[in-house]
Amino acid sequence: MIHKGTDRLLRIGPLMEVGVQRAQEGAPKHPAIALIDTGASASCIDLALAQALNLDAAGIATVQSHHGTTQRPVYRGVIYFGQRWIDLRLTGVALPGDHEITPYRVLIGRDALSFGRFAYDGPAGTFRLDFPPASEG
Amino acid sequence: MHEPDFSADLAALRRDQAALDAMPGVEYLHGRWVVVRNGILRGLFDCFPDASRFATSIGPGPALVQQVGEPPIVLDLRR
Repeated sequence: MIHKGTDRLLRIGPLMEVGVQRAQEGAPKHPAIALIDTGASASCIDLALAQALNLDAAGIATVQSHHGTTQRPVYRGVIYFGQRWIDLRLTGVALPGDHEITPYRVLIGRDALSFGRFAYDGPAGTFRLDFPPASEG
Repeated sequence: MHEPDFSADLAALRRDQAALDAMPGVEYLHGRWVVVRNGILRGLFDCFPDASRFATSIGPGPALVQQVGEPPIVLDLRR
């Protein structure tokens, strides 16, 4: 799927809408803006969103930020990229999504990207993220 | 900014982690995914999605879902 947005792509990075779901069959899907972050080894979710969706905590991550080093819960969740979904562990961090330069509440890290193909076309101001069907992934 | 309270989840997961680390023979489970809740090993799996589905099946709440022997998750957000 090709995404276009030259100005935002340059200022913020590759943003896309995803669906976030509690790891339970039939749970409602919540739309969220996500930033594809190839610099992050693991995917992240806003702590408040994780709690609002009742995601279950499944681990502990050490997060280094400008405020210091802290421990944060890692949640189990399902991220939908269009029709394709991936079970992921999502580290809870503060991503309120209410700021012009940080409009996202989810970070798609290399753990999720390992399932797909990501292409960034700077001159065209587009990016593309495709996931093969689950049976191939 | 007010941060949601997740201290109870972290405390439960630390107890589960300590229980897993102290489990006799845990080294023989290297590479397997485990589900630990309330300090008890509930299941062994070959992949995270299977472990996650099982963790959901035993009810809501924190449960350690981890691959034995994997390095700790460390995120550097100082960018």
